[in-house]
Amino acid sequence: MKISFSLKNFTKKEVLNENWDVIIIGGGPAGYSAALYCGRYKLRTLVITKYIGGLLNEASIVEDYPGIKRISGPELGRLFKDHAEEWGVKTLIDEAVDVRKDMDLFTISTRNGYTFKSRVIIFATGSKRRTLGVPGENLNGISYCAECDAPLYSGKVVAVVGGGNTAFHDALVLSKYAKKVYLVHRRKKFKADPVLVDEAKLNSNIEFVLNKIVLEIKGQSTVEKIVLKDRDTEDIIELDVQGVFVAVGLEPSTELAKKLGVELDDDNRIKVDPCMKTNIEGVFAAGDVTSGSCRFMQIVTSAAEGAIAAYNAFRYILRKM
Amino acid sequence: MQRYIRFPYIAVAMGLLKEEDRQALKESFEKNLKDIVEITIFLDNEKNRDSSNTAKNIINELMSLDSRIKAKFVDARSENGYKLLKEYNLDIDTFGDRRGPIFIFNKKPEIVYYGLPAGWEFVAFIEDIIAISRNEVDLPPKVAEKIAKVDTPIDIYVFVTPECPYCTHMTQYAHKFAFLNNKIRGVMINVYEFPELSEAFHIQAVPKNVIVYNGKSILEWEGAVPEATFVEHIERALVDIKGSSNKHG
Ligand SMILES: Cc1cc2nc3c(=O)[nH]c(=O)nc-3n(C[C@H](O)[C@H](O)[C@H](O)COP(=O)(O)OP(=O)(O)OC[C@H]3O[C@@H](n4cnc5c(N)ncnc54)[C@H](O)[C@@H]3O)c2cc1C
Repeated sequence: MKISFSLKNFTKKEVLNENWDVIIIGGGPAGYSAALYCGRYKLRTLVITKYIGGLLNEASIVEDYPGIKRISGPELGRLFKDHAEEWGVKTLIDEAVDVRKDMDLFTISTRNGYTFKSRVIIFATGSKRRTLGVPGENLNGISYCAECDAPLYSGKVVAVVGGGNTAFHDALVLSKYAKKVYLVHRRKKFKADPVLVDEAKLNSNIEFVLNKIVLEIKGQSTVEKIVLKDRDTEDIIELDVQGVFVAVGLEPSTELAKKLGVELDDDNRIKVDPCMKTNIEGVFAAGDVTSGSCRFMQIVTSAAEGAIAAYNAFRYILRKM
Repeated sequence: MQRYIRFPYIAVAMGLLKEEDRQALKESFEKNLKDIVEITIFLDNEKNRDSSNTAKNIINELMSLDSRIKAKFVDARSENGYKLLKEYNLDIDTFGDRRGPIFIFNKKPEIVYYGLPAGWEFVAFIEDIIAISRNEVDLPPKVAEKIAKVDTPIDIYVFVTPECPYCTHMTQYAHKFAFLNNKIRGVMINVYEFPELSEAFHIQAVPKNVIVYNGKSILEWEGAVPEATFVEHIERALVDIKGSSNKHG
């Protein structure tokens, strides 16, 4: 690996207007895809996001976004943003903490104390990693981002918990650094894509530990052991590990939408119709946070939902004019 | 024991930056820089030889882009160099005795880099150059107000890896706070180049942010947060510091 000095995060500073046509909350693939289309519809568009690129920041390599054979996730995230900004979209790095509706206008407040008004809101708030919910999860050495933390486990033994794409992604990233990676899964079969499973199987320092649930993570102040129970035999085993990477699924970020009265489904996702409309007029949603695309949570589906949300936001604004 | 992998730095004479980045930087400096910015870089050719070389190269490359960027390279292994390090109160790495590369801005010595501002951190470094040259920094007014009120000398350590896209936000905020109020010192620490220091603070996930008073950790957390939340952590740490100093008379 060659050392690099990257300028990809450079954000232009400017004083932002108070009034917007569209405010998009969340700057992952769904948010910036919606923003690109809104920009091209000449809508005054602001993206408020905690991080540029959303979960793409955690994707080491993306190989399934059509037209781009291989790219690092964080880099793809910045490309999404730059593309949208070429069409006049603005970005604010901040957290939206409140949204209210008054007649046909929304008021959005942020953690840093800013307030904006907008005619349309698009929720593209994505999801965050679910926690394990076992004792010891607050120890040093528990991580939710292999992309960020894998190099810190060079030469060590770690466990990845989970059996989906994220778990396999994490295990593969970690296998480049760690001496050994246990992939702990509660079932005997994996949900992950076959390409990832095959790659992991070929990797001699990844060992599958199947049919086990995590009971506890032990250690003084940092992780020392992970305690597992076999689901059939109920045998308890302890593995010596120095790090645990949690990849047991994602939790949609819907607190803000809920506060506004947006309807959610049983899985806590924002209910949308095929046009990405929610139950509240002027509120649209896109990406991992919605019930759309058969819940196939990918960059390409999120981007598509973003485009559909933007199109219908545009039509809504035209109608109201 | 070496806990963290060392970045296998390739010593590159020049050309660390891509041509398009050089152009973008040149334009940005031309547009944004006002006053001269002087940077002091401490080099440690014993313990961090490769990264000290890279430090020199990247700074030389920046200087070639704009004449308002000036640098002084200091051999931190020399007697005078070490004295200067102490004068700037930069001997926080008592664990590994690594003395470079360390970067400070002469006008604002509270803005500090322990190790290369590489990868995603580079933007923070460029932002610092521009802020110092223009003598202005942008922070949400509510946050700036609170930062101005900090009256106890604290250090904020932000432990990072160059690969971590979230980390640079924390470096930038810590440095902006240091810019506004010289009671606050903001120190980015690249864990690859300062492994003993990182080990002493149990770094197992980044960004790890530590508020330090008198060399002791008062409050720490992992992960990136918005400026307003960062300030709330500082305020909590100050309450702790004041509470315990009252107790001890
Ligand atoms: C490790 C990993 C690897 C992956 N690899 C691939 C892959 O190879 N191919 C693929 O297609 N997909 C991959 N995915 C899935 C893909 O990343 C997601 O499907 C996609 O990022 C979802 O996009 P989104 O815009 O809906 O949400 P996100 O990417 O989650 O973005 C949402 C953004 O909104 C922000 N936000 C939330 N609430 C607020 C608020 N109140 N205020 C401000 N901002 C807020 C969040 O901080 C975040 O930045 C991967 C995921 C992971 C975790």
